[in-house]
Amino acid sequence: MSASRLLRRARLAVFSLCLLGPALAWAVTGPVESFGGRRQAEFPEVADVIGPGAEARAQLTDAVLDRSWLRRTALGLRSGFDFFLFGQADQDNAVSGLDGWLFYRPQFEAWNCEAVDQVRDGLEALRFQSEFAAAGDLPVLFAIAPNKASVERDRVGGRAAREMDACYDQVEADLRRMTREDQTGRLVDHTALLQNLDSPERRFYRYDTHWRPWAALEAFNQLAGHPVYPSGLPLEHPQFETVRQRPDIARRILALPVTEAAEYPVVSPVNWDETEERARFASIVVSHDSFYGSIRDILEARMAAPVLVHQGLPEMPDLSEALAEADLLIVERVERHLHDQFGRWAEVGGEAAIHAWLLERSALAARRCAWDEALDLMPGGTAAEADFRRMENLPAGGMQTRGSNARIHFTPPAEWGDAPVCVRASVTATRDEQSWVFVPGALLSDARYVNGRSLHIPLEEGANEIAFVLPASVAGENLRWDPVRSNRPVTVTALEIAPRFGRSASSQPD
Amino acid sequence: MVFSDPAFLFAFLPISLALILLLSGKAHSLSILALSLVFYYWTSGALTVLLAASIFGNWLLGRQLQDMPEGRWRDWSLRAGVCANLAVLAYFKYAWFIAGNIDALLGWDASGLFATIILPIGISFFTFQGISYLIDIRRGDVEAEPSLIRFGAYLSFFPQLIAGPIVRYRDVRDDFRAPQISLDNLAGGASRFVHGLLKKVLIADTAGRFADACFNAPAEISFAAAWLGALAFTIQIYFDFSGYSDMAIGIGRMCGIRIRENFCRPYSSATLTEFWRRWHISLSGWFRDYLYIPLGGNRAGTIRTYRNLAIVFLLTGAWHGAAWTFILWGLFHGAFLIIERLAVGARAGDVHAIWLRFVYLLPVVIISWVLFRADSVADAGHVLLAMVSLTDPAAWHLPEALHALATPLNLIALTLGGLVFVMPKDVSGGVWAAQTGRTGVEAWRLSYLLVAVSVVTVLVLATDFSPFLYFQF
Repeated sequence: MSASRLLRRARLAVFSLCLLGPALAWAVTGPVESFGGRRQAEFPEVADVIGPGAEARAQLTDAVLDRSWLRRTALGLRSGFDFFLFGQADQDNAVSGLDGWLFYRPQFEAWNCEAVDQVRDGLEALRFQSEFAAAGDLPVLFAIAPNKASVERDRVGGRAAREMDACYDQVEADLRRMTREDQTGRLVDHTALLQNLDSPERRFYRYDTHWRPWAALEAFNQLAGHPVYPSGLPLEHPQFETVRQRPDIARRILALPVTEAAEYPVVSPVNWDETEERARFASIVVSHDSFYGSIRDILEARMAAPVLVHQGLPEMPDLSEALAEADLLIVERVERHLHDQFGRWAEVGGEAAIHAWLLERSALAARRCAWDEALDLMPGGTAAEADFRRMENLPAGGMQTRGSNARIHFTPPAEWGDAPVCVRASVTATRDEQSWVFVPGALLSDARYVNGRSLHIPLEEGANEIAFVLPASVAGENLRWDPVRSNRPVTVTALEIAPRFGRSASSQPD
Repeated sequence: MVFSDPAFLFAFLPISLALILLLSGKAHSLSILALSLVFYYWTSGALTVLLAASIFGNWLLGRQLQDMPEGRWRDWSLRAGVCANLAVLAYFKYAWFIAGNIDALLGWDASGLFATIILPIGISFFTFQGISYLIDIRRGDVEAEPSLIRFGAYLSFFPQLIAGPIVRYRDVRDDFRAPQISLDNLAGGASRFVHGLLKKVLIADTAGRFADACFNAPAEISFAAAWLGALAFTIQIYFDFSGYSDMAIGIGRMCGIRIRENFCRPYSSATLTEFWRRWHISLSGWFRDYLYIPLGGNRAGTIRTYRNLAIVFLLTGAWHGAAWTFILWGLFHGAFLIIERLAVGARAGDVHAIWLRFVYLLPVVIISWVLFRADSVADAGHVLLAMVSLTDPAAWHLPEALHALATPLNLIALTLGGLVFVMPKDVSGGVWAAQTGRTGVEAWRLSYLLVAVSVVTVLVLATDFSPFLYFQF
């Protein structure tokens, strides 16, 4: 065979290999795990694939290729061209900063100017929730893990700098101010701690969106040494061992074949029976994201039998069940998620369980309020009478909702000053319902009452006694209670408010 | 399903080629017809019935035209066949547009009647092929195809079904009867296909992203963004459409069917007359043979020549889409063709002056693409106004989205695409045009293919899917 003919056959072979590449790769390597920061497309039903609509066939293609080694390799080559040759990356979930540093793009998008009002309202919601927890002396801490961009500000250049608009700085300043001025003691701001670390090489990975173990350890020590709720034994001056690991942005999103060195502390578990220092809390539940997820071994070793629930991951302990026995709840979230998770905290996944637990604990705290000094808000000609809207007086007593959108507005007396305000009510529902209590805040969006600054109180069919403690800041504010949103009637037979510790007592518990 | 769709590349194409080659004997046309219908069904679902009806109707009428004696009935049969094809096209493609304009003029609500019509993909191509087939039979240029399967394979031939080129039956009749399947055609077709795919996914798609970023908000577009967007679209549409034609020609060659060239370095032209000899050759040739010449061409006096040019380019614009922007685009080209005739007469297509390309042809073509690209006449007006608003304070402002697009790979691709403006007019035909059989040439072709295959595989698998522009015509 002539060389020319051989070369033509080789050309045909190359082309054939190209067309059969994904099939061959699938046959050799089998399906691969999710990559590129994307959720793999589901396989469609066979009937849909052969049906007249083209969507299922496109979905089938995506489902196959999303599990293909070849697509992952192609993604790596595509990213590698820009990254290794030019030090740049710009994809849906990753963007490069200075000196090849990589940033997770959603952290910039979360705080950009288009979303800034929502973000600020979300932060207000977090403020309210910490105040609510403090008002009822509820054992909960909100730990704030840093956006990489907030700590590694010097690396945010190049493409990353274009993603970070002016509102990022404004939101960050608001958040720092909020945690700095926090009076509740419930906010644990790891970001501020890490921003002040003088060891920049120990703060964040270059190619990963998470903190390095050294920084994580500093954060843990900050949490464990909390003045009111010390949750574990700080780990001082441990030995470190160096390992090479696969950084998440480079490996998982850009599919680049790189590793990065990390110094992990050697963690020795505490023998709680032998140590003199004992954890104050026997049962700690930690609801966390990937930041505490990266130090689970430290949490498990240095806390007394914590229950760790990684939000959003399967095969985790049930948060509601774990909370039933909890003495202390620690909720850790990264900065970029604070507003969307706490802004709708009563609705979102794990947050709904946290909300329910806090309500339950608040109801217990409300039992000890100074009810002998209560103001009756039911109609009866008192000065403190609430404003019942779209509700009617029942001959037998009580106020019943009329259709949907019933409202009860009431204002705790401003002269109660800095005393938390207890609220209790008797409510009868004809079936299981949901009731909302809104607290106005310094919100930026148009709405005066938002989900983030509300309590979602479940009502069971029949008689319900509800009670909770609101922060002192509600004094003088016009609160709104939506007894029910459906058309089904709900009857309020009692509504009272009282200062938590009595008008003559100190605002602090004994 | 377009050619850069992974489903086509990695499933449909290898299966199709394997089947066609295995059945390259008597079942060659049958396999092509079946695969073409599957290909059409994949994207268009139930509208495949329309394609099947077009195949059967044109085949039946072709047979009758063949058998009819000369005379009035034969002419009327041809007219009926042409009208039937045009009626299908008019209903699916233009009814909504025409009704919308009537509504605007008379205050009616007729367009609501056509609002649910779905435009069948490739309808402009297969109806024009059907028309040319009938006219060629009537003219005696070709005999009617006796085999329904072979005619169906021709009219629905999947490589060129949805985005051209417009293939005439007389050009491929012999190949469908005796397909030329050989190692040379297989290797050559593969190279041509990959070359076209590279043009599409590396250059056209990249340029398209730049054009989209620039034209995103036409009412606020700046001078710089308008020109950059127009240039990017000029690159995009050439590499998109010519890339698709390369792929169609390549697959056709692998199947043993030779499809004629559709592009010949159009941006290297000196005049618009020459441009139209090099751009979408199958369409300009179709209009020339089946409209311009029957109208009298340039043999019936100066005024009628200009009138014929105006009609042809009005319809060329309308062929591309049912919108005033396309019609204005066609008339714009027609007007410049008339001006060229006024200036240099019938020799307008034979001017050899490179400088004309840069001071005349390219500016005219680039401006015309603004009309073509715009979503509305008003949008086109905004962009065209911006292109002359150099003194505007924000003249040099570029959209933020462009910064994100300016990655090294994108800039390299755009630069490669820009080379099309400076290419000499008469370079040889590239790697596939060189003499086959020489070891050096074959080695170069293999090297090029290896690089191109690697690049297109990476880009197709790692970049978001984007449809071909000519899909909609």
